[in-house]
Amino acid sequence: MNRLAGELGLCRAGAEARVFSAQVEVSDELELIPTFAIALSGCDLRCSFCITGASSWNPRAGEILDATAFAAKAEAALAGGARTVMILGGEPTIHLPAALEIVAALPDTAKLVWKTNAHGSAQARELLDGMFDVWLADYKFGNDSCAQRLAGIPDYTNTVQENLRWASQQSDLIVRHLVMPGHIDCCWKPVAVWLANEFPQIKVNLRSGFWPGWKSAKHAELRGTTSQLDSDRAWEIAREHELHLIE
Amino acid sequence: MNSKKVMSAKQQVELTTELLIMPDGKVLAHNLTPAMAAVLSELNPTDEAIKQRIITHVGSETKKLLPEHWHSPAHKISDQ
Repeated sequence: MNRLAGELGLCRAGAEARVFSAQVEVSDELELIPTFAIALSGCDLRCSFCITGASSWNPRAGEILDATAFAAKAEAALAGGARTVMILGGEPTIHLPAALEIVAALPDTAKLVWKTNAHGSAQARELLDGMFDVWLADYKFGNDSCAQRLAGIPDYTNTVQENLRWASQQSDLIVRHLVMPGHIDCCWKPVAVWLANEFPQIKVNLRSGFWPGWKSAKHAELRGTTSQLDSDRAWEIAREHELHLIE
Repeated sequence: MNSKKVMSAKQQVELTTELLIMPDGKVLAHNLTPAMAAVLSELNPTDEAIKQRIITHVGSETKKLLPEHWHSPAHKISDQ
């Protein structure tokens, strides 16, 4: 796919990256906040439950990225008390050149966070080698069937696991999983088992507060928030496998 | 309140926090700014999850919106 020649892939992104949000936020992991979060439009996944669907699915949302200008805003935020600079999406991997431009414009002392769906290619992650202090990676689905049904993506498990193995060697890796209604045993449990076997000490953020927005109503089980029963079961699984949960 | 605004290509980046208030009174927050975290904490001072996210490192304009006691060292976020 040659985006410079106007060809479009699944993400529909063109040659230029756009930013739909850039602000200091405190909703992420406690060890990372306050963070100056720069959100790039466009994504390679099509998660029905995407919390920023309108912008994440639209690579033309927001303003054209001026890496120098946004790096200056990030520096100002750091000077004002932000602890990290986070680059996210959508999925920032689809805008690698732009993301790397931002990194290049930031001071070496800035603590950088790469917030990703961990579904990038091996070629993409090689370009990210050594660039980010923290990889904040989603492990969303515990099987390929749910990934295909809810996010339209094939071969999810192998790709994500390969990327997580790589990231664990390159940076401080934090794995996130969003507890989704009706997806505890099919998704969270396999993820928990794999993490416990593969990375027993990895930091895991089990996210509650499923938001039934965007296109989640397409799926009957995603039309409401997570029940207390599902939440309790999810935390029980985490305890059973002695995962290192962080807030 | 779950914002469903559609972003146009020309729309400028602006500060945004989205709130979803559930029928049982639970409030979900996304893209939580420091100022909104302070507001939510005022609504429910016993909520530890939000309390941990209160910071004093905000700009002067935002500081004006916060109660005076939020500026005290006791509300500084703990290092993790």
